[in-house]
Amino acid sequence: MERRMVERLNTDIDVINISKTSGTTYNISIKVKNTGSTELDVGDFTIIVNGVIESYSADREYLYPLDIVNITVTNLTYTGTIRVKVVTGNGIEDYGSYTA
Amino acid sequence: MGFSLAGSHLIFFVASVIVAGVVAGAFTAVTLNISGSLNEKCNRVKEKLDTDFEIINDPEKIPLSGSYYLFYIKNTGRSKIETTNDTFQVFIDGNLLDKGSYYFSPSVVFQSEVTTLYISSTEISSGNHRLRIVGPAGVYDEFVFNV
Repeated sequence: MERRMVERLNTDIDVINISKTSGTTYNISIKVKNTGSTELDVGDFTIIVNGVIESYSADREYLYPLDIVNITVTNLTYTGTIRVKVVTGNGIEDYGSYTA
Repeated sequence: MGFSLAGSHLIFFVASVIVAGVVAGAFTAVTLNISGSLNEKCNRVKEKLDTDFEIINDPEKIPLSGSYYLFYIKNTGRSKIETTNDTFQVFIDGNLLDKGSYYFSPSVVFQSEVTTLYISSTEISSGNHRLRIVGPAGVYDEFVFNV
């Protein structure tokens, strides 16, 4: 419990950019920076786009402090200003948005 | 005369041994009882410390699937959690929901995994609401959202 609490306190992420491909069915690329001091297992992340959990791929397995991971979500069709939420394995989260 | 002195000593000795035995037996039973209770309490505390979960939805975008709102519950603890409508109680704005109006899928989540809580849309009117889910060992999470 104590270890988990310390880990949570030391965990922080920032969604620093979201870009999309063109077309009505498009992909988005989410850049997430580890702004905490613990390493994060990217496979434990949950990505929520427009309120719905989406499957994703990432260019790295572990995200070390100050490193950036590029997460890709494919085959989206939402339009308007879309909110994206990224949640780490231990429940730390950050939001971003893009316009489609 | 000699018998009465030695006899009375013997009687006192035997009586004191019997009393000491009874008292020691009683203390042993009480001690064992306390030890068992402490053990049980320790296991419960350990379960509580190892159990943690979080509602991770976007509060402004609660997905609707058919006639159910979907809430995502992430296991942020260290032990697996059984997610059924027997192990979890669900409250909307302080009102306990009937077991028939919600269910989970999947019904077991391991560390860092997500289960979906399906709540009948008839239980949630439009506007702001507070969802409270109480899981095993009394661990709970609250979430304010808008539909």
